[in-house]
Amino acid sequence: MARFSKLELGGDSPDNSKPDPTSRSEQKGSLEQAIEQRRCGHYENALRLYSRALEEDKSLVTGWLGQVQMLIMLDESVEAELWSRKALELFPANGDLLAGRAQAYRRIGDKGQALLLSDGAMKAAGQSAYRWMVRGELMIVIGQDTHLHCFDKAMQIDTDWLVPLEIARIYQELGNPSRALGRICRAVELAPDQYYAWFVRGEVERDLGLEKAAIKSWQHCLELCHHHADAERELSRLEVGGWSLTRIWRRWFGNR
Amino acid sequence: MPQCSSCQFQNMPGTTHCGRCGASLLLATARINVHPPRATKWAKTWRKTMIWRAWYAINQPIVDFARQLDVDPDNRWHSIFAALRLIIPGWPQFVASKFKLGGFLLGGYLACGLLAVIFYGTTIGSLLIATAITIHSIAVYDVARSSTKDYPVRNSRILLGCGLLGTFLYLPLFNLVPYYAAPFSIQIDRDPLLVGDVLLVNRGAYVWAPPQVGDIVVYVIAPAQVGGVAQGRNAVINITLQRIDRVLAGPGQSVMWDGKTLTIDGQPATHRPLNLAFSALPLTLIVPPQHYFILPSGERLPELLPNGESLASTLSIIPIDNIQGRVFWRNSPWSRMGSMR
Repeated sequence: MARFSKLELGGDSPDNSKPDPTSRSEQKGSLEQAIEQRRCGHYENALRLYSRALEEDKSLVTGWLGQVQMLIMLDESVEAELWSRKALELFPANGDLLAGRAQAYRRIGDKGQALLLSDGAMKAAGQSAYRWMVRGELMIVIGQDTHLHCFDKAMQIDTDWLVPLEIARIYQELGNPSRALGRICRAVELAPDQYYAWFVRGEVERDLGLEKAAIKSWQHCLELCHHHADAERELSRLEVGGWSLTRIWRRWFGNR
Repeated sequence: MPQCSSCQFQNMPGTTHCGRCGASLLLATARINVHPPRATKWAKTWRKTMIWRAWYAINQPIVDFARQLDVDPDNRWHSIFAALRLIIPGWPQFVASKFKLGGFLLGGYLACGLLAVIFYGTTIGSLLIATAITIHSIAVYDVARSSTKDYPVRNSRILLGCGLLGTFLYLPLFNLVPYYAAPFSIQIDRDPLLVGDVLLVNRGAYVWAPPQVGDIVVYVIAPAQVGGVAQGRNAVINITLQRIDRVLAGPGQSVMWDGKTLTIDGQPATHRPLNLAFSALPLTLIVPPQHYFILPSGERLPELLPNGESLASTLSIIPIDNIQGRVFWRNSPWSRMGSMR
């Protein structure tokens, strides 16, 4: 039978429903690249790459979740809420997507709805660091001290350095740089070779008024990544600027 | 055996949705837009402003309240209706079960408001109005303070709440009330109006209807300087300022005043000038169209002016445009408080 196996007969057409292994590797590449960009703090690029990965395979929950998270990071919470709603229509009981929508609602200002969704996320099957991070963020907003427990739990579930960094980002967003400093220092300890962690650490130190420490962190960031535009810009701002309204504003009201 | 990409559950062949989590199993071939909507730069800037945050923050308790009532929170009418709650100080506190504070705020506001009406037009009245507005601001502050511990958001909510109340409640109120009840303080004693009297004048009384005979009105005489005698010496007398007196005859009516008796169209007049003690010289005239006859009874014209008769005729005929409003109430002093007829 082996000599007939190479004949092209009408009924033996290739199965189109099976995903092409080449495209599968490409989409994995897009997803990996998206995650890589996210870990570098390039959220705009990461969002684009997540979309590219989804163009290939719409069943990638990570892609949908990544998009929602990137939109939130890019201060587009209204769009993130809309997008998470759409994603939840496709994956109704996905806990991470529920958490994403909760975070979007929290950023918009609807903490009641955010709490309901976060409850749903915690009840959903499985567990993830992201759900605990969102829970912690909500606990801060409603004035409960359990946020420390939530963030510690997130760091236990996922020991990646990105988790403490994103927790620091949450504290920063809520105008609490002193708590953010502890988390970002932990991220730097876990990954001293990650320039983005150093950059965020510099931002947190700047918000706390520790300008010398911030300069050191950004210089370290530039040592690891020579053309980090944001770090260069922040450094030049600190070096050039003496007295400025923006800095007084930040000192009083936080970085918002 | 199709596997769910969300929960990894192995589903039966032929199923379209995951049996565990309900996710679609046909997503790989589905035609769905995977590019999320993006906010414009302008939208992002706008959302960072305090106004947007504050509006959202003030709207939020209302939406929550709507949810409690099991109504659609996305329906803007529910939100707008509930936002009106801030108009009455103490109402949001009652809803939040802060009955003591709500009672204090509402009671204080009503008490100040009532006293302000009684003392309207005086310094004490102004102070009471300011106190009432302060109490209202405290009510808004309490709503904002209870809603968040985030100081910038709290401050923005206070600013927005007070700004909205100021713009949509107090600004129109402070424009309308002085128009329909303008306080008018008497500066010169001319019985029956004495120094310190506060009269309320409806400036909108003659927008839609003409003045009626018998109305007490505020009017102005065109500024004029006339030669006369004052205290036995020649003097230039200024005739101007706002005056208050009664409308005695309307357009087209013939008037005869002999110093004691006023006859309108040959009949004794049913109304008298406010002050008969100082009456002008005798005169006879016919009121022209768009004019009214108001005897300047408070003036000592016969004593002041050598040609008082002709001047009195001129001063008595008031164009309708010079009538500024109708005096309807004496608000101060309390002993003589009452309507002006």
